[in-house]
Amino acid sequence: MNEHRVINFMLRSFVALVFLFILTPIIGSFVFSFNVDRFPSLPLGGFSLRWYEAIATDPQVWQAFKNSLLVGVVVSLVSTLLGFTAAYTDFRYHFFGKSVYMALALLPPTIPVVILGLAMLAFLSRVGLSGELHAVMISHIVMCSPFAMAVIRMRLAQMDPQLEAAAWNLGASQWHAMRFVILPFTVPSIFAALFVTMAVSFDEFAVAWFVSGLNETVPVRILNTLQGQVSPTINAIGTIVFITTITLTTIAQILLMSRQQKPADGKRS
Amino acid sequence: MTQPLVVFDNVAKHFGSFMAVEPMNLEIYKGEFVAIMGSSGCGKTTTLRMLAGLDRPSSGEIRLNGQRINDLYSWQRDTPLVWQNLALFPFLNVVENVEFGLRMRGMAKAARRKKALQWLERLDLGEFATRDISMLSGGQRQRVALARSLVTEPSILLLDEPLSALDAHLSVRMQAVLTGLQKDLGITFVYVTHSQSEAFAMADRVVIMSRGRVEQIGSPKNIFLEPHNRFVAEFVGGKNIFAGVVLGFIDTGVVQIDSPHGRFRARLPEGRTVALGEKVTVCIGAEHIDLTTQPTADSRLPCTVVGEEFNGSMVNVYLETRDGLELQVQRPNADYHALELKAGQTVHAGWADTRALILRGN
Repeated sequence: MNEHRVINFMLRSFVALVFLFILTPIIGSFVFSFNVDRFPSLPLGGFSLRWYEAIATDPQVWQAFKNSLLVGVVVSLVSTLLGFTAAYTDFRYHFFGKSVYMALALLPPTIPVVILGLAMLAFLSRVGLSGELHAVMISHIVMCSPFAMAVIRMRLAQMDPQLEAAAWNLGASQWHAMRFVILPFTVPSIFAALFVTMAVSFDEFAVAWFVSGLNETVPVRILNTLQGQVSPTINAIGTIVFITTITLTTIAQILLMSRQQKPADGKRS
Repeated sequence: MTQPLVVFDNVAKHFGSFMAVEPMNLEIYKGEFVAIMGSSGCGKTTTLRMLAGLDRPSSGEIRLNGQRINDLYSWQRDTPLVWQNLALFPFLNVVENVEFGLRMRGMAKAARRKKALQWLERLDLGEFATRDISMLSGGQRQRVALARSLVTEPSILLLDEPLSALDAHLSVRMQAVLTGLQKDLGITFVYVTHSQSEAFAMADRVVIMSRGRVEQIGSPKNIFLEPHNRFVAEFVGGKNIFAGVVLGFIDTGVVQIDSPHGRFRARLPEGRTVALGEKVTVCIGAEHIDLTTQPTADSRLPCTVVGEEFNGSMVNVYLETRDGLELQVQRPNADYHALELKAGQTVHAGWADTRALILRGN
């Protein structure tokens, strides 16, 4: 018994330490974003919103947020659509070379981002799209679609394949079966995919840095600000980015968890 | 005869090089309850799926009401199927499940809701209309699946082992529900099952399949009394089967047989002809064999008692002849006990001439 308590305590401490290690810089950034002092030092100078005011009045930051938001919305919509179609193809069809098709569909996240960024830049500049906001969107869609597919595929894997055939048998055309059976069943995962892909896009720096040119997204703006001077506005931007991303992923996670309750019910059949 | 509702005209199905269903012919009439029976992998479900439009025949033609339906998609024919696992939509409640077929046919909301509720009422599910599927018991789900398939008032209903997931008691009750519904509605049921008791209890005609082939089509009584071949005889059970050679002709439809276990007479089924010296398979029902401790005029084989098995009012007795043939005999409990037999004891097995049946096939 004693041993168990010791082991338990050590495991808990280890987890706590890991979280502390990961979160300390973010907490630091969060705390200093409200600090009145120019340089991050202890003890804290006093509470202030001046850095938030600074970014609110900085047109470059505003533009970066607008860009990120536009890119995020487009990317999440398009890559969720692509991810859904790929996952549905996997669910519904069996064909020669399907494993290759699936491997290709899951490939992008395994490529180092620097290589992907360079390749994207080389390709997009050749077709005359580099430096445009479209370039960021296209690159992010390539990167995000596999995430959307993975999320939706997990949901489809829990679906009884006979449900679709049952709908056909009851007079539903293939479109109707998609609309009235497949979509209602996968809808939680579709929303999860929308949020996950938006979070990934909102966060992504390396590839955006390569292809964005003058159309900076928020992470690119942060780096450019850092290169000029070390300003506490970074902390303020970082805090906003962090809260945005964590909110999106939390919503996605909640959607994915609520989906896990359904099959538990289904098991009883 | 009127025109059949469904015709399988030389219909075959293969998946790659695997022959799931060999060319088969079957006619199903309006208002008939037809059971397709066989062990798993015999092609019975594939046959049903071809009728439902979920598998496409590799060759041959399926006709519904005289019209070729091979090329119609499942949603273009009205052949609803009750699935083995029911395949109810988990994201819809009971009444939404039931009205699905009407919704797909574009019926207005109020009208289809009314109709779905009528069907739920008819199947004693009225109070569950707004429940989640996951809140229902197995038997209730079964009835929801039935209501969902019947709501479009089809001329034929297909059922794929719908009772296999229920316990024995519930299964028997559902059998009564199904036969009652079928009689009331007057529509055709095509029922796939591996269970002989379900098929024989409910069906007007039974189709026995094995390894993709139709072995016999007939009424339950006909199949039980005159199995066409060794497979069917073994499948329905309670039969003693052995090989023999035709020795001579005794009378119309009665021949003398020589078998490793002795010479005796056997009856030919109607329409079956044999030649002298032809190899035939002979079948005697376990219930037709009489046991006596002393030989009588009808006695054929002296045997020893190997074992007995009580089965309510009947006893299954297992015997062995001197040359090692195993015999299965079914006697009423009281008759058997009057003999006071013990294991290892000698007993005489006998049967009337007309009880030994020569099978059509081997």
